[in-house]
Amino acid sequence: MSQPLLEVHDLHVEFNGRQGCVRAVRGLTYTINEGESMALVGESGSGKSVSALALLSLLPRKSAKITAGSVKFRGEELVGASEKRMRELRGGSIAMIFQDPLSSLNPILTISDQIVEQIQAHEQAEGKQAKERAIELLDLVGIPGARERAKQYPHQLSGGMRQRAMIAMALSAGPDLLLADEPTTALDVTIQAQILELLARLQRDLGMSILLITHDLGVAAGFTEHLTVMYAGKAVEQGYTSELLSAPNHPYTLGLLRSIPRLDRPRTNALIPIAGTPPDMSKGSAGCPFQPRCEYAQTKCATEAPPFEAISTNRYIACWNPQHEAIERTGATK
Amino acid sequence: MSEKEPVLVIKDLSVRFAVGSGLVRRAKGYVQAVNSVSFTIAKGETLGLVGESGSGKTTVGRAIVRVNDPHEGSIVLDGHELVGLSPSQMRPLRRKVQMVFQDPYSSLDPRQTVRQILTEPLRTHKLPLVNSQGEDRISELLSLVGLDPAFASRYPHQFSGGQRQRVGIARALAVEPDLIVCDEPISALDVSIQAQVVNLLESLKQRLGIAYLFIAHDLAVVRHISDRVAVMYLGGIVEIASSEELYENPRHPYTLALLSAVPVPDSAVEKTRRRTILKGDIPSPTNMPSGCAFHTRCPLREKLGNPEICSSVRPELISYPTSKDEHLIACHFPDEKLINHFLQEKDGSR
Repeated sequence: MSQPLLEVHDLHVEFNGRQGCVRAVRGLTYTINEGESMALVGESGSGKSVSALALLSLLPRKSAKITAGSVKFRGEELVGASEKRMRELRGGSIAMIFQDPLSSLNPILTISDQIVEQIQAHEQAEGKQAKERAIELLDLVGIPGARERAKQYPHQLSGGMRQRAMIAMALSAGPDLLLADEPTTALDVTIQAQILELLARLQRDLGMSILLITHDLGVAAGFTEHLTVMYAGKAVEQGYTSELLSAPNHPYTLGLLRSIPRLDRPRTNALIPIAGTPPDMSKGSAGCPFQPRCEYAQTKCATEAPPFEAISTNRYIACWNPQHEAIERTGATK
Repeated sequence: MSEKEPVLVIKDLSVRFAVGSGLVRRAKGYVQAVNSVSFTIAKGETLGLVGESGSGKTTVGRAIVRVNDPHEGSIVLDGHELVGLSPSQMRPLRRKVQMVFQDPYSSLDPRQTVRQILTEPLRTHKLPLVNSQGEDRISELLSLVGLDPAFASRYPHQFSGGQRQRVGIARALAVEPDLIVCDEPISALDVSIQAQVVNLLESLKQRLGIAYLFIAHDLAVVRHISDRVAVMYLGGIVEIASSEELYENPRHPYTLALLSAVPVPDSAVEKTRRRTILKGDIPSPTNMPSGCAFHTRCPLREKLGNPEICSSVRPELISYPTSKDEHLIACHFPDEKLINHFLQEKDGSR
């Protein structure tokens, strides 16, 4: 069960454009074991999506480059792997679903045609057989009246149904790892609950590993066992989701948790925001990237980047001055 | 709250949009985006308006600033009826109500400096560019929203999302309105920036006594900022109560389901909490369900063995008799015991 499935080590990704060089990912390390789920949490521009696209070599080839690091899937190095091999893996052993199902589905093909296309890309299957598989998959992801729905076009489905269709497509080759990039961000909260429940059921029943990319700590809390918090292209804190959210050590994680109003806590008078704004990723930083916004910053923080190291069992952190202030538990309200 | 003087009184507001009409074609039908909505906002009060996409919450906000014209009903702002006014009659009243938009990128003119953006509403309403102390109003406005007055000569692209939203708020404040309609003012912002803007809105309310209609889908933020909260579903209000009452004591099955669907950043709570997952999608407003708009997805109706009244009679928004605060619910079965029973059932099934 706990064989490592995906090992990402010190990943660096750069974009080169007219505006100069943007170092979007600046050192990201994590491991996902077979059957486990991990959330990659961060704000826009933190490099979480770029790092996931990099795993599958889906970045624009002209402008983006993995400049350092390694990505191993079942021990096989994916950085520098041939396009042919990546093609086999993409949608095969590693599948991906995206935030906006409408723009990731082909508007002029029926749902069935798109799933059939996906099935036939990875295995020899006759048209009729593949069509039946497509309907089975739509049924599996909880689309009512799958046989009829399969004949429809993406615009005829609601947002939640489209995301289910996307998930059906992703499952078509029986992936071992599902990369889910903000899969519920475009959806309403009641539909989000449906999709998260579906993903949890599929993970359990099919034994998949899931990498969930999200900006919502609540979604991560309910769905994943492990959590990596990213800031400015780097992993800043990593550990078990439950422990990390109840006792964060990194000032950024602590700041995030303090700044959001929570339905499971009594109403507070004022939120405690994180001062300042996220850094400009086209510029480098000598020290810790969070230092300009950090209330616990020391002199060292401005000049020396903290290493990403274990500070206790199952907790990794990049900080010179880790905090040990537990997030108070004032008992759950409704 | 009800004794306080109202700044806004909305009664039986309906807004509909024509479907399939063109320049010469007649409308084939109508979408009832807002269906007989009534509420009031007191001076200096924040009313949160929540609901899923398609619930009509934005349309209500836009009807108040008269971007969408109401089909029926009345909107009384500071004692003036807005419905039926011509644009020129409306102009002086626009000073009293301003709007802050969701997207701080598209709601500011990229070719205007911040000074020009903030001067425009002052010019339109023939307001002085200096305050009573003879200071520059633009500088005053920028300091008010926590921006450096030296930024006045900058263009919107030189600001971050959070700073742009501050400019949008300063623009709304320029004409000293009594009410600001905030339509998802923080949902386009990064998580770490959202709290800054929420705190700004709260401090402005305290200092200037402005009332807000705070439209949002984030239920936790709405609880934090609102004095009272109205929940909308398919164009109608299903429940309205004080923020504490609504979140501690939700009565409408839709409100219950909505609250139970909000994830919280605590794994222990997430794994043990009772969750009502609604089946299916929000129906299309072009094809509105008969009776109670929620009956097609209502878990309570299912528990009760699908009573006929739910699909035939539209429930009125009526005051719930036993609650201490004002608490209105539009449900045929607003019985506390029933809801409790329904909650226990869920407990057992978990």
